[in-house]
Amino acid sequence: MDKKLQSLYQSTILEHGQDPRNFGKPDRYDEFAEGFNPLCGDKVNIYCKYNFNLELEITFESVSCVICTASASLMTTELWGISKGKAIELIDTVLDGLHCSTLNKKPLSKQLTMLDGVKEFPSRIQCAALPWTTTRKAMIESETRLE
Amino acid sequence: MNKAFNLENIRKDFPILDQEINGSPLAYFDNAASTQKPKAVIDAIKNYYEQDHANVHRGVHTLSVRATELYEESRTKIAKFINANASTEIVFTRGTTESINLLASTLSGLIKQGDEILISTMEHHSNIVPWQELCIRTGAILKIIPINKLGELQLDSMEKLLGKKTKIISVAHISNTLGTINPIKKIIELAHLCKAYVVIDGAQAIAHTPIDVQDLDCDFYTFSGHKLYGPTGIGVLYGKENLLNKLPPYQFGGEMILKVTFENTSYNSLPYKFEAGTPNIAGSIGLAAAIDYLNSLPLNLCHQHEMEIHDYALDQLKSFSNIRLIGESHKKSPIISFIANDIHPHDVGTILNQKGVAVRTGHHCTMPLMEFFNISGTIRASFSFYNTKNEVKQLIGGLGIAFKMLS
Repeated sequence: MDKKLQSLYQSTILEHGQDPRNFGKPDRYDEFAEGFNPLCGDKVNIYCKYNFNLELEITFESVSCVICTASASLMTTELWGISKGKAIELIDTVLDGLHCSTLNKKPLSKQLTMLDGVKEFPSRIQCAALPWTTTRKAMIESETRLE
Repeated sequence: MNKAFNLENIRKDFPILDQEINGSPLAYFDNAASTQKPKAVIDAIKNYYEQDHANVHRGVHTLSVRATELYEESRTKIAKFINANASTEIVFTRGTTESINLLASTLSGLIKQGDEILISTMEHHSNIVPWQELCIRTGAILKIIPINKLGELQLDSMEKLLGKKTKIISVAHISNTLGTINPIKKIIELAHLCKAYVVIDGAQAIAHTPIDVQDLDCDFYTFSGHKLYGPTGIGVLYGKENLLNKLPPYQFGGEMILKVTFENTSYNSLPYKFEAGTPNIAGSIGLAAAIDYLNSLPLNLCHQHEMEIHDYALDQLKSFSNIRLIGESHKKSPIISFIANDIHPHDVGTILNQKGVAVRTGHHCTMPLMEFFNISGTIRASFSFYNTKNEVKQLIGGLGIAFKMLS
């Protein structure tokens, strides 16, 4: 099969895309944002909750393509249990990797670097980035709301 | 003598088709979004800029006269192509979207609170939002003509919606997502019984069916050049002369002015009243070249070929059990929209592109229609007379790979 396609649809991506982790809306959440990709109409809802130790418990709902769903699924597994500050740091690293450089050169887990496959498909970068930008929006905008 | 349809020769007229995409021959099935350009159009634009360019109207020098002649000749050719009564009924715009915006903006003077505007479920955003805005400005009410599950307009429901308050009906001649051909002659007839104005969004129809605005008796007909094998950035608003005369100007300055003093300004006659600023001269010349090119072809056989390709593709698609067609109207143009179980259209589009096949995926700027079918988007293959059965085979092969990878 096509090498570029193989790198885009790696087995981990396909697996997370078809069987996403942390999918669903929790009963209670502290932060929420809705992300929308006007290009294709995809939607992602992000729900952030913080436990007593201020560790993040993040879930999502989406109507989206494999790349977007897998990216959201991978993101929630990576962000689960870390602090908000660390989460924003990681989000910015990933977004920088997606838009400006490559994920491969960043201090990221192996599964996150798999999202680098989108680099060969410029129209799909937005699909991978959407869950991350939406989470950032949930975290930053709810801070503004609190102020 | 009847002209023969020669697919091989026609394909040679379109230089862009002869290329490889990701190692496979290009199979271009995104014609509903934009058609490719024959060499005649590309040459006409090049020749114009190399030999005849200057600003149009009011110039006394040779180039300005030439440019003006070419610009006005284009208008005449377009008028003839859609059988308008006079070239003064042809207003150049940037495209269908601007044509509809022009109407929604200038018709608002004739609309008062409580009046009703009718559009349909299958409209493109460009034929929804300008009317929504008109309703916000005037207090008019937007009413929606429903469709059935096949994607056909419900004429009986439309008749019930029509009444004294109906002032404007604006519908697509052909749906860009479903391919449905709407019975616009009947719609126009019914609307006129209520003295409502009829706007037809002809963006999709113009390339696939002969248009005779006088026979249709439509008040306004809009289309884009780039969907008719012409350049982007040029479009047409046809309007009956007496109606265009009733409307106020849309934008102000340049060609649309007759006389200006600081106290008072008077406006130019039709069609210049609606053409403010330096127009897209090269665009109009390119569009006229596209019309000349189309007139050189056996157009009825071209349309027949497009439908043969459509029918062949439809038949081939039946080999997949996971496909659901979106839009199965009894009267269709060469557009096929479909979804494949839980597989997202965007993923299919990416894999097809790797196999050289260009389709459009997503909502096709018809989000309310997607909501009606309870889907987020479709995979859309839209055909032109330059498409071949081999290209369809390439599409089917690509779909096979995509479905295997993604399910």
